[in-house]
Amino acid sequence: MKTMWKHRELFALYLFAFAFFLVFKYGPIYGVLIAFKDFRVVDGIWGSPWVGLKHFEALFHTADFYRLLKNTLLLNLYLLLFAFPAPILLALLLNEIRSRFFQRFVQTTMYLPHFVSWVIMSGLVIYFLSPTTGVVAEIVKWFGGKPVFYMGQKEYFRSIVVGSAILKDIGWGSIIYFAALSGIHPELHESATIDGANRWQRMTAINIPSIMPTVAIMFILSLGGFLSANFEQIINLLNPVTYETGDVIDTYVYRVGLQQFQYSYTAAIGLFKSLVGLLLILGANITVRKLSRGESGLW
Amino acid sequence: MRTGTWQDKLAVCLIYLVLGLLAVIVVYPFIHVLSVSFSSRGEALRSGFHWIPRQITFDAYKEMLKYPFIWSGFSNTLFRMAAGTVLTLLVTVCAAYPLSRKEFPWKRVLVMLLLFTMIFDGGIVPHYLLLKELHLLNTRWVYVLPHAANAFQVLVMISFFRSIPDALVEAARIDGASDLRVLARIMLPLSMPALVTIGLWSLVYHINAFMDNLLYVTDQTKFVLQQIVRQMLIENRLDAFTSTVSEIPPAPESLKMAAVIVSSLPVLVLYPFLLRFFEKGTMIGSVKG
Repeated sequence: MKTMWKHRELFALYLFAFAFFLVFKYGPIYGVLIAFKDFRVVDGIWGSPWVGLKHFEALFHTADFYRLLKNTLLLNLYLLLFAFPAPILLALLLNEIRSRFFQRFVQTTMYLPHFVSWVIMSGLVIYFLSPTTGVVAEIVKWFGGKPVFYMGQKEYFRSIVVGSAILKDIGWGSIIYFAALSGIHPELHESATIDGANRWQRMTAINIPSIMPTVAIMFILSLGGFLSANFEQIINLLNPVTYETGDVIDTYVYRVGLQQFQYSYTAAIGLFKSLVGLLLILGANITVRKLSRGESGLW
Repeated sequence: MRTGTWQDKLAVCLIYLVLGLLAVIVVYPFIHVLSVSFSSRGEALRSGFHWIPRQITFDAYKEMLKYPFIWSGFSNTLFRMAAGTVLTLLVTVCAAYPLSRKEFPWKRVLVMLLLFTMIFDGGIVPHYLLLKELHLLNTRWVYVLPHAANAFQVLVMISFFRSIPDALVEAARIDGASDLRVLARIMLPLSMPALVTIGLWSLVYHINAFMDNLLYVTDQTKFVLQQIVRQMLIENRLDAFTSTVSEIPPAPESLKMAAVIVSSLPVLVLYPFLLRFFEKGTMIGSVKG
């Protein structure tokens, strides 16, 4: 009590800020209770009757659930496989260039899409892939191919999502790796060159190992949003034809939960997703800590 | 590096080529958008590449400015940018300053309480129900209040506060300054780079955000710019436009592209500042919390 009084000003500041976290971050966690209840609007969250694991059982018995789970996992896996390493690759390439002017030019242009919303990005993707107005159709025709209605073909959906995700954030994502690369001591490169190492050997022996700690942290951070990422993007690109490959847990919860008022059932799916995400980030952190012998990791 | 073999030179050439090509792929769509938005009807409907319009007309923009929801969209977006950023900074500083002080008790637990919100999320439906019970649905505050609680920004702020030399604070304390005085007179003036960075993060978030609009707001007078554009661009709803400007109304493509440009205006105005501060800011953010 005495220490609290001594730091009363600090406590007041913290409490003011924490109030926002309590209401807007912990509040929804309390709301998770409705996944175990039959939520009725008039009774509120607490007043609705308990039903135990009924909604989870219903979940595991519907084909929808496995389609959603598969789509969510696959999409995020592809994003991790292709969209995560893309900025690292870009930074490594940029780092090989001596011309400062060209470097700045490439960087400045590649940042642009990061500052544009997913509404605009997705709108442009749809527009450019359209078989009638799209430039892509023009290029395909030029090479003697036949343009397809890409957005209406479920086979293309994941590639489109991954491709546009790369285009939007490859430049921006490369900043942090580029900074890490600039922090490498030039002496390392000089002595390696004297020892006869070529460009490729210096990249694999010096550059890549030097940025690994940064890569590890970015990896864990990206897992934090795993399964929830790209909601804004997917909801704009998705249409009923592509539900089969593109409908993920979040878009389903939005459509069925909020638009068709199936609150409890979809809250259960949402909770399932959050739990899987939590386990993933905890697991990744432990793994990274083990691999780096306690030196890396978020905590 | 300078004394390259021919393989080395070839590699460098390839790298230049790949990077140049990437830059063109990224930039071309924006040139195309500009070109089509200024093009006459016939020109806009022509398929293929568009670089520079042969005939410049402003019909699409004239049409756009007559659409009432564009203006309410602008005012709602500006509101959330201003109010949202101020509140975010306020909450971030209030949370970060105590946690950055060494003598503050139970620091670890209090940081953990914030960190937890970064890795566990209630989900869409509980969020919706909470905002409903708080009577925030269909108000402009729904854009502003929930965003103020952002644990990542607090972490960035903490690590910045910690980088300020302790001696400064101790000297002020010996002179009898209270915690609040230290914050206002020493910490905040020294933290301008971090405050600007977090402020700009917040600005960009608020310019481009549309999910909270989609989920929580159905009243069209409260729609933000991005949601208005979304209706035109993604849902193809252009029926609100009754063209009377010219005999030949602008092509729907021109209208859409003009909407893209209009809705990107805030970002384009801020872009030079963003670049300068964001590069630094991302590095502040990379410091382990």
